[in-house]
Amino acid sequence: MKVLALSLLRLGDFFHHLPILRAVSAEAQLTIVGWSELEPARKLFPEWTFELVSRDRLLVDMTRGSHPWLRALDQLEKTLENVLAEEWNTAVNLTHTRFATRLMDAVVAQKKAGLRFEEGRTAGWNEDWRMFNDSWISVKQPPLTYVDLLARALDLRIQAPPAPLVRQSGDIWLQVLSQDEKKNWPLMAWRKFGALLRMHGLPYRVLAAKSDAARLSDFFEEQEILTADFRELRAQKQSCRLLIGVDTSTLHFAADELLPCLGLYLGSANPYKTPPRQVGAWILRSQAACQPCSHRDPCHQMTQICAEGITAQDLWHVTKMALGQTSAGAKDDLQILKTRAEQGLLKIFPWEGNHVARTEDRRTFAETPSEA
Amino acid sequence: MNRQVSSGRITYSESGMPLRDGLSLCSRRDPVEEARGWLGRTEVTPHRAIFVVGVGAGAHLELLRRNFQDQQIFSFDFDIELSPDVLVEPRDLGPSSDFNLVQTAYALPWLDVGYQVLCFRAAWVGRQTEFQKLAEALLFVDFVPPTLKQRKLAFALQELLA
Repeated sequence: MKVLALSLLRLGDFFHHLPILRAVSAEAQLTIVGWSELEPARKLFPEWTFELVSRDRLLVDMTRGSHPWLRALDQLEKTLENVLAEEWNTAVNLTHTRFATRLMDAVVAQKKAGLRFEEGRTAGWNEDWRMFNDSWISVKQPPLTYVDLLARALDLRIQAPPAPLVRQSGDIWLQVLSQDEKKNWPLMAWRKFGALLRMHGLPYRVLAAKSDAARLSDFFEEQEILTADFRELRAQKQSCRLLIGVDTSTLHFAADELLPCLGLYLGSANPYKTPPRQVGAWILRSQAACQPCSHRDPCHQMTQICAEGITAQDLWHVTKMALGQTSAGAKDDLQILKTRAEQGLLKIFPWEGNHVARTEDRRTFAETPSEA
Repeated sequence: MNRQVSSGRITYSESGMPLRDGLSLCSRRDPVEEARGWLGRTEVTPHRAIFVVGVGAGAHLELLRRNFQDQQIFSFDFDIELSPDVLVEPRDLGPSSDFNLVQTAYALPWLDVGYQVLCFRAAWVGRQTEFQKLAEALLFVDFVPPTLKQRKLAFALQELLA
């Protein structure tokens, strides 16, 4: 059986799609159509076939008036030659964009699932898709996470794995940079946090793409920086005790690889929509009224108040809890965090599974510290 | 040279500047400065061939060739007197059920490598409509993909811009 899946979003979204991709590809040959930024995924999942399209190249020819648009069509047709020549048993669209919807129209499949264009109109549209679409666009606290809403719309049953037990040894990995500046916590704050870890005898490594290493070297020692791609991270994951990171593809990759996770959600990062998908994964977020903000727009505050509202001490207290340190000192951590939460400065909760948003309020740390 | 040399519709002024039906095809005052200004307003994409529509006095072509020595540059014009790299006959742009001759002979072979079309409009004087049509043909503006599958892909591409 041959299954085609369209995952035409970013790498982080692809990692979110993994439970669905596994569900649709059980006992089937899976081919994934994605943008070329999924290139690292090709190496991570050699059991799947990837047909990757360069969005940038298409856009260059589509948007510049001096370029022939036919070249974009030519490139797209050549890149997807194999995909378009095949008759698929099933084609699934995991992407709620109009491009993907139109692409589904060009695909030949016995069964098509997900939004698609068909015979001059949009097809596949039902209540679940409407709920998915509305939740994604306009609801800040949807009843289900992005991937669970998507699975529901596709009539698939997937379950989040439990958060793994934290190891007693190993390095704490810090993913400190997102490409989206709004989601970043100041590097100086990370440095202070690193100093706290060091002070308490907890070794850590700062994960860096090659392109980020120079920027990070102003804040961290060379031996503290771990420059690695996803395959290398996977190979070294046994040495990771806990991954603490902002909302990035690395965080979601780690969640899928069943590394213990603590997500720091700032800017447009929304823990109700895209948490590290493990039941019990830890999340720390600001309670700034504007957070989460829009993905598309830059931060419109004078300063990034969501990041400023969280201190290195806050993250340290949550880290201790995520590490399962329940000593007498941890009670102080609870009290400090409770006070900070009551002041409306931050919010912390272990992610509970599919109904995170509905239950999060009663699990707010300030209200039920003993459960945390 | 105090004479005008007639060569069909193209003639030359006393200073040697080309005229079409008596109208100048470049700045009478300073064609080189005009070419500099044009190039300054033009975004040239690296690693692509450049199709220049309109030859005129050729100062802009000289400037392009000097500044972009690694790129292949082809000039397109309708008048043989101006010595374009590609001489186009208006009938080559005529209606066609598929591609017209300009597209088949010059544009399609370069599609894979990639090219951009630069319009030097000062040289279009007297034949604006034909030059516009030539530029649009090279850019495949009115091209309708022949197969249903291609049309579906073309619709998808349009959505990228939405």
